[in-house]
Amino acid sequence: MFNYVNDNNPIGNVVTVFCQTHNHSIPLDPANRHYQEVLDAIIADGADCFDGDIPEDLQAAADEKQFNQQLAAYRVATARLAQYVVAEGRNQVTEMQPTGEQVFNEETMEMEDVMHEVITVTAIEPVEATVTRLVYDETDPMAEPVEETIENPVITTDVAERAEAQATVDATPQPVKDAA
Amino acid sequence: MTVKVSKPAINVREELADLRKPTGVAGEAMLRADTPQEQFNLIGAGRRNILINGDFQVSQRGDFTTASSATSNYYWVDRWLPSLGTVTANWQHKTDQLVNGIITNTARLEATSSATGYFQLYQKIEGYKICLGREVTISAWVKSNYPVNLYCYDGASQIGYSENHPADGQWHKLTSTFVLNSSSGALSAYVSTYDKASSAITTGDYFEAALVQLELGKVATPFEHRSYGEELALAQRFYTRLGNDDGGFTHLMVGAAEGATTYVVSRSLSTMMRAVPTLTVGSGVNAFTASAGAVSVIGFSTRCTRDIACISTNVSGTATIGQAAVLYDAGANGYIELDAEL
Repeated sequence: MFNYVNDNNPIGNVVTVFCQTHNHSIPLDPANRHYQEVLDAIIADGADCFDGDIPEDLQAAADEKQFNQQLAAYRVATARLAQYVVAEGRNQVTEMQPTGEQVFNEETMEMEDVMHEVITVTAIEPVEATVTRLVYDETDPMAEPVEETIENPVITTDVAERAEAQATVDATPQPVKDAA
Repeated sequence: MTVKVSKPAINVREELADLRKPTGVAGEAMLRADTPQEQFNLIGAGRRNILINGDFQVSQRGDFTTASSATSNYYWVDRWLPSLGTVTANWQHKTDQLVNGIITNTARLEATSSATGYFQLYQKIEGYKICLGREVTISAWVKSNYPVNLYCYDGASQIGYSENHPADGQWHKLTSTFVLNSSSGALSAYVSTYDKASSAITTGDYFEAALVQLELGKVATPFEHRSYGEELALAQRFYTRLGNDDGGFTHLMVGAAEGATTYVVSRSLSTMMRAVPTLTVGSGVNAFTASAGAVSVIGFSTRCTRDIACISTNVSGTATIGQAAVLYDAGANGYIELDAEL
């Protein structure tokens, strides 16, 4: 539990945060780890972590920190979603790019770039949908192993990671998305 | 015109014999170096250890020489923290241990419960940016009955795992070299039971670490010994404890009564701290003015900067405004802490 302290000294006021749990007096310095913990507590618990109202400047600092955290998470998530789906593979993409040479076009009477086709995205085959593995009976080491067909673990991991990334994107507030 | 030149005769056998100097691999490498900088790097010259208190000389927070219950992610011997996953452990700061022929201090963690988990010791590094995109080597002497390893954390993932300790209860030097990603946002060095996953920990599993070093380059050079005073000054950038906590009535800070119950006291710090520090006044600190006498500290708030410790205290009694005031070590917990750790 924190509370805001204004020491009201004759030579001038200094505002700090006091942590009642650890008996700390915390300066309002962004480089101080306890100050960052105060902001984290405000993000996580809101007014419940504060004795009295949260001062406006602290709330604003906590809001900015949360915004930056959400922005970073959103960028990571969208980058993950932009990766190809391993179960579907990826098509090759080519584009025409100048070689650096130029030739004279007699019809237009201008120099023109010589173009050639360049592969900008290489093709990747989809992975096998399933894999077969041998399963041994732990209770009977002499028993013959049984074949078991399961979803390719690479696909399982890809699906889980994409779902997690999509959940992050869905939970991101629109102002954060707009800033990305 | 013909010019006649004469040269002294040379003995080819002697010249060839000179080429057979007793030069080892390292010597050959030095000879092959193109620049003084390359030679500098080859022999690991200059200040090498990026870690502070790698030989556990400094322990400002107290005496941990008796094994006691460790608190996870709580700063312990200076700059070092234990991290406990699922299990509990004791920490112990051992002094004057013989490690590879060197008398040094060590840090020991021992599990006091059994579970699938981990226990580890780590240090967060402030100046990690010098390592970005470069080869980095971590090394330490470790004694353990568990296959512990060294690794680093780059702010996103664990990297640079060393080989495992053979878990034979003997001292072994573990090393690992890796390239720190140029976009890494942090760097911490670990001695750990964690090996890419939690594992089965049993009560009594332990490790003891000594001479931990993190350096640029791909070679684990011998540990760079620094004096106690130097390590203390480096550590005080992150944490400073004022007072010996011995109840010796030492004046910790001096100032004046700026109000009848408000004393503002200050003191210059010997080391500029990393950030404006968090302030804690121990329960054994009392205040004094001539008019109010010895009084208790009821409350306090920081007025510190990075180089000056300054406190506004609320005290009992009624003082004459303007009188000189002191805070002093009056008994157990008679200290003042300044914390600017990462």
